[in-house]
Amino acid sequence: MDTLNGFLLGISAGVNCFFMCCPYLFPFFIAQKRTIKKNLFLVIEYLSGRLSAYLIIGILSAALGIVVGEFKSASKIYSFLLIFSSLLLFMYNLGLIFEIKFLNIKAVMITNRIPFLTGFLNGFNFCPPLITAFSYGVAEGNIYKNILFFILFFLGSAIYILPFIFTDFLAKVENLKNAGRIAGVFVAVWFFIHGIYLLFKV
Amino acid sequence: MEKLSFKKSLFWGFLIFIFFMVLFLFSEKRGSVYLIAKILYSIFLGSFTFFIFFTGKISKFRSAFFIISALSFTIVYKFKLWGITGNFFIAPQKNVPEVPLCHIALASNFFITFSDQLKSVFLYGWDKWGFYTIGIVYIFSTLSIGQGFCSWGCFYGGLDEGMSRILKNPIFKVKSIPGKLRDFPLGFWIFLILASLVLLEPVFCLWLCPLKMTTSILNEDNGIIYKMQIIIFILIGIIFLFLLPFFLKKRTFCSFICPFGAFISIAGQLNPYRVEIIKEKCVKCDKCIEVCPMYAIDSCEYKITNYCTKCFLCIDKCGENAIKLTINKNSNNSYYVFFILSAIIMAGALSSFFIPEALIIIFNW
Repeated sequence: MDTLNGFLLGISAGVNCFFMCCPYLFPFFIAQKRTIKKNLFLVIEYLSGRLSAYLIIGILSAALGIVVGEFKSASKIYSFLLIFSSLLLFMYNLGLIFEIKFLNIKAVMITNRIPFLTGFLNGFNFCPPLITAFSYGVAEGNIYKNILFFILFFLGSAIYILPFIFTDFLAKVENLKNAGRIAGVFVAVWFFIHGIYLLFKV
Repeated sequence: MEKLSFKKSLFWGFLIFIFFMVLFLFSEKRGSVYLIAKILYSIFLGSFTFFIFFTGKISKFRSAFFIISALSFTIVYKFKLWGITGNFFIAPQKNVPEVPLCHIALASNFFITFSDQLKSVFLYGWDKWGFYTIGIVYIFSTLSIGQGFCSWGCFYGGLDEGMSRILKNPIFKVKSIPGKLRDFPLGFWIFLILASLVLLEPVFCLWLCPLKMTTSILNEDNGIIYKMQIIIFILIGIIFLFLLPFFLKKRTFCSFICPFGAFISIAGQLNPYRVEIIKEKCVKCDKCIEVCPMYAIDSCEYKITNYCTKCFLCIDKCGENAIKLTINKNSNNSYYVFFILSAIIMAGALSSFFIPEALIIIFNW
């Protein structure tokens, strides 16, 4: 297996990742005033979540040797993760809008790690390039090579997320800040419904 | 606004009449009936300008024009559709995938319209009616009247404005709403842009836009999705375009649903005109808050927010003359004159596509 293919696959998956992550990330970036530096940390945190997910997938693909037919259960897991991440996003934004302490994720330990968790849960989105990457991993069956392969896959797909760092100017508009939180609630509800739909579809 | 003298009002009215007459004489090629209708329309616009300046009552005449524009748009579109399909609601093409050509559709499907824009350039030429053309109108409108487009130029806005003008007093008084909830349409707009980006389809147009009732309904089929879409947008239409404006005397669709309204509340900040409350003169009688059709006045701070669409109702109703049209915090009567002239040129040019034709249809010329 040519591990460099991981990077190319990542680039092809990136468009899908961008479309999937944009609704999650955009409300995050405009909901609170942040500097470019803080946005950078937010993106790093989000991407770390994704990287962790990819590494787990890489190790699993090598260790388990799952056959193609069993991807159905992977989709089922993904739908559960989608429902969970949408609930987190819902609580996060509702907490910010109404300043409810028990909902405001800052009050709970988990809350400070929301971007990481969202990235982690979104990482399990078995889009066609990731399924292909997974198949490569299963065929190779080598944990070290798979880890390298999935790191390159991650790097390829991460390129599309980087422009979010420069959205700091948007959060300076007071209306947009509040609007970002409201949009976040809508996005959460939408992904929740999508997750339920996927759960019954697979 | 201070009223202008008879001579000055007549001068501006005549100028608008001449402007549109010249425009129509050179552009109208469909025959004498259309030309006569457009000459009548030019006279109407000239008179409209005259009465606004002579009486100083901006919102009354603006509202009348705005409602006529929306009704004319509906009449013209419906009759054209009837002529093509023999049906008042269904479009001639089935399963139309593209974003409809309308400013609200463009605002809610911002990213996915780029391909349509390119198509309009490469297939039809840049000057054809396409998204680039609308884009140019967007820029001109934003720079000249900003959010004023929602109270002067929009050919849909007259529908809920018309409903909100039927009763003299509201049946249910909801003077103001919490500031955070007023940002609802902005959040909703962001969500719509993201959703349309992910699904690559005009989500607002397919699922939520009740204004399709004035034109045609997309995606004719008998599937469950189609039926759900119809139920949702008709319900939104009944509630936000008809019932709530009627009972509350507020433009609820434009205030809470319209994605273009949300977009222009941000983009319109590029425009220099602002409507502002002069704090020293304000006696906090709340008349402006009561009459504002857009819930655009912050009732705690007595401040006009960027959701103001410059309908001038608050300026007309304020007994203390405490609300002014300003540029850079300064107010001057000439600002009103230039704003109103820009607004009439913008609204007059847009409505020239349907008010004269509606005249021809109504009088069966």
